[in-house]
Amino acid sequence: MRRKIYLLVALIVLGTAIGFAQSNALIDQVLGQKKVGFSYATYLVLSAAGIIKDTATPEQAIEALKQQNWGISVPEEPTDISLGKYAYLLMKAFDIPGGLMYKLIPGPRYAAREIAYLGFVTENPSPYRSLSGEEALQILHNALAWKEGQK
Amino acid sequence: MKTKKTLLSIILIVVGATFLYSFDFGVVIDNSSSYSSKEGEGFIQENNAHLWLNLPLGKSWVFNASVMGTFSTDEDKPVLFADIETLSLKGTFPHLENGANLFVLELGRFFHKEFSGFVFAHRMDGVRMEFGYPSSTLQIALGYTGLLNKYYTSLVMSKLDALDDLDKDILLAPRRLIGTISLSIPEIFARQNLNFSILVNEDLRHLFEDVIKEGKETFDPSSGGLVDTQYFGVGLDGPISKGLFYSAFFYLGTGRMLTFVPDSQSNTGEAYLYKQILSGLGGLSVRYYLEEFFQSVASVQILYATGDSDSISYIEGNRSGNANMFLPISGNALGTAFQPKVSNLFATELAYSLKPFSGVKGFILESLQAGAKLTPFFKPSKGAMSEGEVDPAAGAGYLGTDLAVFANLRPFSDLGLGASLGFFLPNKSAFLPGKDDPIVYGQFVFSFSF
Amino acid sequence: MRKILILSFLFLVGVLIFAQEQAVLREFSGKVEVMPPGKNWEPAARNLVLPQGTVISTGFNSFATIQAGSATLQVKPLTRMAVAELVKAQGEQKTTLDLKVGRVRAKVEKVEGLEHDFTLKSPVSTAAVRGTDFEYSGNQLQVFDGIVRFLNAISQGRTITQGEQSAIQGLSAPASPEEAAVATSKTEVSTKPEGAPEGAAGKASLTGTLKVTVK
Repeated sequence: MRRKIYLLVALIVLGTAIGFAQSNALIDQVLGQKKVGFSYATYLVLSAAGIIKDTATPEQAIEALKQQNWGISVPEEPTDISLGKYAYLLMKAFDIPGGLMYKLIPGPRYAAREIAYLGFVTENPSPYRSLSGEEALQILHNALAWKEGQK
Repeated sequence: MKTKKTLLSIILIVVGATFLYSFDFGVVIDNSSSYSSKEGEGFIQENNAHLWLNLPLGKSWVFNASVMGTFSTDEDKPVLFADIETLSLKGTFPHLENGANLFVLELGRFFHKEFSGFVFAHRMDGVRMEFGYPSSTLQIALGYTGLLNKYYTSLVMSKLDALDDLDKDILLAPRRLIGTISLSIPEIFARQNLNFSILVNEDLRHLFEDVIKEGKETFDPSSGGLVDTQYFGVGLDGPISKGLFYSAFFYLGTGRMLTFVPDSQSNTGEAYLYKQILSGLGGLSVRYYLEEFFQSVASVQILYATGDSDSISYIEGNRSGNANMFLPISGNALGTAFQPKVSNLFATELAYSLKPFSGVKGFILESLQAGAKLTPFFKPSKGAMSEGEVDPAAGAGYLGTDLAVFANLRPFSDLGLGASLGFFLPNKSAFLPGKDDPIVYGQFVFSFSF
Repeated sequence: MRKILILSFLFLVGVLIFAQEQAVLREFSGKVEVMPPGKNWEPAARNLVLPQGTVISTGFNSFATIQAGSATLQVKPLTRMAVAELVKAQGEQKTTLDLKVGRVRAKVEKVEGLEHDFTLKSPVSTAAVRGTDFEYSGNQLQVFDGIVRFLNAISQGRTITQGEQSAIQGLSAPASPEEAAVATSKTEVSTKPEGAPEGAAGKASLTGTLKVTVK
């Protein structure tokens, strides 16, 4: 019986360690991407928002995104994410109110405008450009800090 | 045919480039509705639309373009008019190894100003270069104003400029060549920033039309001469203590202006002669920011611009000796209902504003900024100033006080609203008879972008 | 034998003079991992010694407190930081940390007889401090105590003191403390966008160094 308990504890610890290592390996991949992938960006935002666990995979993040019914089109093939779509993910995930045009026509264009206005983006605020993994993480960081400040 | 090919090539390059790199575009709609009780003004509404494009071209270059169109009820302007607001190609070239520096080059139409904002703050067509070093920044700019739509400019310095401004057949702004050299040295000592600036304003009107030549012996009220000016400025600004900041500056104004003066060598005893301009402008401003108390800010600003006791009018009004009235090219002004240019003026502005709802996160009025300004105006010298209602024969003294309240709100990132209400209470003895009534002014503005 | 003794003595002296200082993970909450040099990611533990070359990573809603000599660092969520250098010589301690992404609050105590040269590097900046309390995220700085010199990639700088903040956008010089105050106290009515900052053509910030030195 004791052996079984020890084995169970070992399995839990091992599983946790693997889960830990998995999320950091993903962050390592994101940081290495010059143009962050759609699935990786989705993983970042959804795990930051607590919608998925940080031990999830990017593929699981895509599935979770489809279930949110946010009106964000998911690409069939692996591709980069634009700043606009990343901004839209952030706006939806963190319930950021947005401007008048975002309320009337919610979408990547006005989501990018909003995050630029809020100061999350310090580089070119064009919604059509790609962004690096480093920049995506920094924008997410700024969004989390802003959300914290709203409390 | 050649023009069409060139235009087509430019369009193809621009369109092609949009698919290579990221770009952004949009529209901004502004409305200004104002009422002034001043004679000849009344209710004026102006609606502006700006269409803008920002196009990065590679790592170093950015192409910026915007056009603006206006619908106006101002009787002094056409109902509809438009202009290219900006059209520039800007390149940024950093050098990060040993001896780090930065070179910035901008070509085209852009907004340019000197460090005070009171002498020159205007768009121009030309070139601007900036050399950034660790301990200083040097900026050199050269521009031409003759291709701007005059209804978007404020460059009236000579009589011919004023006549063209009234002529509805003339659409372009006065032809001036503006050159500036500026050096800024941040934190030269005790966190104080030092600024130097040299501006040259060359009137090019004589290259395109006849102007009154020096030596003409009869007065011609329908024409005028050239007004060329140079400005040499120095400024110091920085923090005094936590939340307390100041700035101080001085400009020496020189140049030449055509003057109809007594001349012993003239057959009529008078003649047009170019007289030297020797003038000065000084300013001091102190601002105190108290973030803890509703993001409030209190400020005191003092401006002093020399006048000319011989001048009978603001434009080419000198009638003897040097012209001592300071003439800005196009800069900021103080006041709300009464807004004289910084010429023959001593003004002290006291202002305070706060954001009463800044602590209520997410509230639609969170960004509301409300404030008040009190600006007593004085004339430091007998003579004319920019406001024609002021009696040039009146000596130095108190002109009146401008009192205003204002509110600005940005309820959404893409919607801004502003309102102001001002009163000017004149000292009747300083004004011409019949022109000495108090002035009431109100304005509402909104800005929307998509 | 004598030579061996002398050499051993000199070696010991050298070790004492140039001893490796230690960074220690004192507290943490949430998901914090460390990657020692040459190893894989592993979960953090209280009072874990972090040798030179260790990378620390905080997850979502996770914090870590690291002690490095007279410096206490609060590592904020979603931060990736490496311990690049930790050396203590006679009267002087040198600590260099690489901030890959995220935000760190650093408090460097002034210690009598010890000069602590504390440096924080990021993809766009390096922060070197002696006796101050500030929060730094690569292109933003907020000073709570002391004086910090904030420099951009071409060494154009601003001195930021207690209660002040500054930021860098693209290749521009650091914003003056008054610019930050104006941004919060003034409401801009015009909705015209300011456009892309200089040198920002859709790329991430330039690699370079930004030095923050405390006087």
